Amino acid sequence: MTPAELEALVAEASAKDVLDAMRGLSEKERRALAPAALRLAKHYWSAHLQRYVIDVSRPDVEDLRAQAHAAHERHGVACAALLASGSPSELARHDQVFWETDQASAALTERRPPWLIGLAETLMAKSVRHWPLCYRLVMAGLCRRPTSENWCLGFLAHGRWVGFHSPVKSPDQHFSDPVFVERELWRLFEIEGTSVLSFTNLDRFSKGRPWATALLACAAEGKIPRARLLDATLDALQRDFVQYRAAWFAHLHRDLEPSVAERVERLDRYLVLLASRIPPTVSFALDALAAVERAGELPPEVLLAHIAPAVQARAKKTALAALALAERAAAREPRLSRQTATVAAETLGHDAADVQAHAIAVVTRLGDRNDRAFVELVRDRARGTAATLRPRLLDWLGEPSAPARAEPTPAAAPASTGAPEAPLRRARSLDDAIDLLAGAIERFDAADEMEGALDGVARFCGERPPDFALHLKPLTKRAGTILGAKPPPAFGGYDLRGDLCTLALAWSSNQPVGAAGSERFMRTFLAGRIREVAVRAAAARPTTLLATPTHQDGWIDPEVLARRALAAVPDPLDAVQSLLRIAREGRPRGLALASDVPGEYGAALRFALGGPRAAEATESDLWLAAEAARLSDRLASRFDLLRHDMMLNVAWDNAKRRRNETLTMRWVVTVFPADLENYFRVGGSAIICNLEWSQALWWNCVYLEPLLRPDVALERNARRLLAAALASKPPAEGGLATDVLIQAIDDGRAKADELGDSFVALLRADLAGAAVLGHAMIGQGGDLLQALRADKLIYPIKCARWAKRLQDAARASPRHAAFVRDLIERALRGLPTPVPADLGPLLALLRELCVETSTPMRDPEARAKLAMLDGAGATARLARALLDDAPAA
Amino acid sequence: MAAVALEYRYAYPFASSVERAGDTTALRLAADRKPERGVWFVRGLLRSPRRAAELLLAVGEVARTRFFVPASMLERILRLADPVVTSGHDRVRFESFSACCGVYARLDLLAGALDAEHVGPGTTNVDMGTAMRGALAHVTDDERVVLSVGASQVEIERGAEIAVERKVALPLRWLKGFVEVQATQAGMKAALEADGVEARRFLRALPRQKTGSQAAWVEQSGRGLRLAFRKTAGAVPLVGIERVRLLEPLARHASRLRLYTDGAASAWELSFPDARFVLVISPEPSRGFSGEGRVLGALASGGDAALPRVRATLAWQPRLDEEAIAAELSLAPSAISAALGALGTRGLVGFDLAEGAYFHRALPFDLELVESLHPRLVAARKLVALGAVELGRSTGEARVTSGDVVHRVRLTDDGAVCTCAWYAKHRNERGPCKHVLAVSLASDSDDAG
Repeated sequence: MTPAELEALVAEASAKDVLDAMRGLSEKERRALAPAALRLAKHYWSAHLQRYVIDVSRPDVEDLRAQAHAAHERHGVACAALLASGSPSELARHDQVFWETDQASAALTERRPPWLIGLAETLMAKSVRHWPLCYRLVMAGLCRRPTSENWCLGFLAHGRWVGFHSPVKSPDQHFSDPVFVERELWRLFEIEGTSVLSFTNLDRFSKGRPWATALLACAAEGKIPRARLLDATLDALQRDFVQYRAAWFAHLHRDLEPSVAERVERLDRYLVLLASRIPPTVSFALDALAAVERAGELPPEVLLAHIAPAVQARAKKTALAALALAERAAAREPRLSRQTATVAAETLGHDAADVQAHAIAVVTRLGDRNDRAFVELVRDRARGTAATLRPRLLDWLGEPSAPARAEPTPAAAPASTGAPEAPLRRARSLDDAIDLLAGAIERFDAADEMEGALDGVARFCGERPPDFALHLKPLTKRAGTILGAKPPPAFGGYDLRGDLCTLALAWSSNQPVGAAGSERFMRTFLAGRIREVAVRAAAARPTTLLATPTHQDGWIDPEVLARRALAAVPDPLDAVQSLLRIAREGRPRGLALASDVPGEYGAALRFALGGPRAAEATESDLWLAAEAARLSDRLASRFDLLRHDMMLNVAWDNAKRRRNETLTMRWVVTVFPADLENYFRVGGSAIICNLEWSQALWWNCVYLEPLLRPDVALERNARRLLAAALASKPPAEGGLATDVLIQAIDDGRAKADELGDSFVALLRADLAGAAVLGHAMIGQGGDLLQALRADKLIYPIKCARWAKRLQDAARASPRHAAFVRDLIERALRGLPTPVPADLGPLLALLRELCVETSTPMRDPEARAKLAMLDGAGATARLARALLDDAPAA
Repeated sequence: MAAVALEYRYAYPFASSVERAGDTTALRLAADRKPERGVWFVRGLLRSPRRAAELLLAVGEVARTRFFVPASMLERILRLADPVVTSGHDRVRFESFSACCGVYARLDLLAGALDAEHVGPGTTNVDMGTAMRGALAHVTDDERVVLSVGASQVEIERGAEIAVERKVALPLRWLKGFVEVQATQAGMKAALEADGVEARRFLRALPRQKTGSQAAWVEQSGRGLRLAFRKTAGAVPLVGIERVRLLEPLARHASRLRLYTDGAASAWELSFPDARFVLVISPEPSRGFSGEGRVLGALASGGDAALPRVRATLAWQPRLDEEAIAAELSLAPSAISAALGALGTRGLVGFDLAEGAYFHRALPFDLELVESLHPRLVAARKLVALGAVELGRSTGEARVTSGDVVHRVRLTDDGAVCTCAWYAKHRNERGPCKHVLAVSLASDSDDAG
């Protein structure tokens, strides 16, 4: 057969026909056909892919579908030819050849090339996807059994799709394979697995935990050694696999219900697990050791030599269980009292007051006050104990109680606005302008860099030295690379970095610039400003942008603006933007200078600076901006640029998106720095929608950044945003909100009662439920917006998170502690009925702060709410303690 | 394209082990080379065996961890290098470097940590396999534990193999990172400090969730430290919080936590009565030390005459006093500092933050390769060789032709400025770009010629 004959055959015949035709050819003859087979396989694969994604609106959609189907079919035939002729390296160049297990298996079985014996090892080293083919070839005795991790992991698959379809329907099938039982089975306890293939995943998403069930049954029937299985589970736990995957091994070990004798035999392994980094594994080991201890088989000195990491475990329950175990050891062996007391003393700094209380009880009962080293240890660790518990410890140490922390210091006055903290970088030459634009494109994370880049291009775009193209080439080449061969339409507002690249290309090419996006969203406003500069750059028409900030955070000195306006005629969006950024200080002087600014812009500028409203004033964007600038408030009601839904939900996330959203939001903040209430309203809603981090909206914390500025008042929406973010799950949102709170207390912007009322509003808010988010994600955002407008929550507020973040803020200083105490007290006014299940930590923090600041609860409304808590639970006990403390304190 | 790697053969005469005989536990770390003097690098009785075992485990853990896993690596997380031990004078140092090239750990066992029977000078790899790690987890303070590194004869571990041999491909970026991290430390300053109680509280309070590339800072709060998500004066940057979680269990024994920073990377030093544990983390999880390029200038300048003279004074000193060496060699302290930086790139010195000084050690790898294959340096040399650099001494602007683009390199008050994308993104924060390096090389060559 010649390559041309093969090509004709592939184009017309079936895979079976091709294999039949090649049957009887020698390896040499087959190899001569391989290059043609490989070329055909690649060709048909490419043809199939090119037609795979079809625009259904095209009139020829049916034809395209038929072509894709035909190409796919021919690809299968070409693969058959390649399998029957290719060398290992030729097959490796078209991996898809192995995807059709039946065909590949049949072709290779019939051909039986000399290298077939090692093929499974090679394929499994490449990808687990080839497991079904390799499994078939290995079981048929055609291939040597592979040893790679992929090979072992492939055995886990059964039933459902895991990147491939396993021919095995249930794990039970494997247990009849003695090699698997002796080899791969135990390797599976040594390999952590992947995000798809692991014992945990396969059992979790299959009915009846098939792997665990099969292993338990085999162990019970003696098909696999029970002792080895017990050891293997413990060894797996010792490997510190991630918590999600480690849990399966602990469950299996528990399900094996080891006897006391079996546990004693594995005592060393359990003890080692006490130091595991995986909290549930520590808890698991404690349970096992407790069982051994109950049987009287746990040597106390051995336990005490290993228990320290468990006693200091972060989880309260684990730490308490470990302390109790240590205490019982001391009870059995009194000579170990000092060791036990030392273990307890190390726990005095635990985060949970319950653990501290237990530790204090052990220290005071078993500790020796004459043991100087021990007393020194207790004294050192006592600093970490809760205010309510410290007196007991100090009493044991024979030391006076520390005085209450200092009284709050007076609040600092808020800083004035607009003062430049550092000179803003502006271009001084054409080279500078190019550098600034290149930097803005590459770093793309600061609003002022964007402004600097626009300013530079606008002012220097008229300079065209002889080597101008040479100067700009590195930038335009890079811009072209970023945009790619098929750039999306520019200036739509959803890719500001791409818009900057388009600006760079426009600057170099003199080509006409495309139209702007038509939507009146904040994004298109920003993109439109880039476009205005791009139009000028393409036409080499330089100007001084009026809107370039002179100060941090977007402010423009009124005098500078007036001078700029005397020298330049602004483009429409530049004009609007410049008015919205006028700083509060210096307006009279700016007004005087602006008296000669010509045209409608001049009239609007004078009005914005406090001058009279001109007769020609209209309802245009320019005049609405002037009015907003003049009044410095409520931009949205007048100038509806903030009507954009910002980012309440998103179906995808990647680095590009993350950078774009982050930069867009930082830039939006500088559009109207005088009033960010609407921005905070959107931010609060965004955070409320994603309180439980159901979507990877990394940029949401950017909403909080302006709140760090001392000139930004904590008005209603800002407080709502702050209160919500303090309850948010993502560490960055909660952490930044804590930073804001600390800062706002420091500079006197925060008022405990006002912020407390925002907490009250959230506590009392109705719950819309996460279903509305789902509606929004499929394009039906009405329910979500309606819920947010009605101030409803999507997820319930977690009081425990509030407690954690507020505790962090309270630690900053006595003043912060007093503030947080007052804040929580005020927030308790909003306690709903029934109270949140996790209210306890908030009450515990309040109690600590009341004791620490020697100030009882005073708010009658909050006291009345607490008085309604009854029962014997920890929360009710805390409430009673708070109420009882009050009169006496 | 496959990453450039150095084929390295770890060959140990026995597997590291812990053996118990009577009341004595022998903690035997196998070394892959012989000490300069005696039969062991170090041998002595550990005074706090449990703590030492936990610290050693942490060193081993860093060596076998990828704190950042690029998507393409998800299914092939490789085990790379073993820890490196340096002994000499009164201390033993264990160093390890993570597979992701973003975390460096060093444990210094100081004079009080060992009742030393022998401490000989030298550096070696040590085997820290699974069996050794498992055994270390069992060490308690009640035992009499003798630590030894190296041995005079092949020793047989309980029923296991008698020799350990592994061939690994050490990626060039890993080797580059290992030496680069020393230069990074040399540029750091102490920024924050907390006592043991506050250190434990801080580390315990770190978020459990992965924070990825979210920027965070550590700042002083009252007597302790707190994690902040905005930058304040004196705060230490921390991106990839999960990377310092390794310190949480170790802090149990610590008397102090001290943080150092150079404004981007940070070093976390836990102090113990007779030991120090330092964890140095790169500016971001996805940004290993290998790409920092701080030593590129030193590498490009090449054969400084001071280098061999400074090298001759090293003598396994645990603290290299730059002023004393300067006085001894009659050279300027800045020349000594530059020479030590260059020796750092050859793996001949490490930097000890607590001492604020370099120490002598000789990494057991062929680091000539690192120097010769540094991508930016290679690219710069290639540009020079191609005659792509046009020095404009009168204009103060050099032109470097790279492909179809001509980059202009200018000298300004802020240092060299280039028109390439690397410079636009990083400025001079991660070392010079290849064009600036090429200009520097061409300029040196021009001056010499």
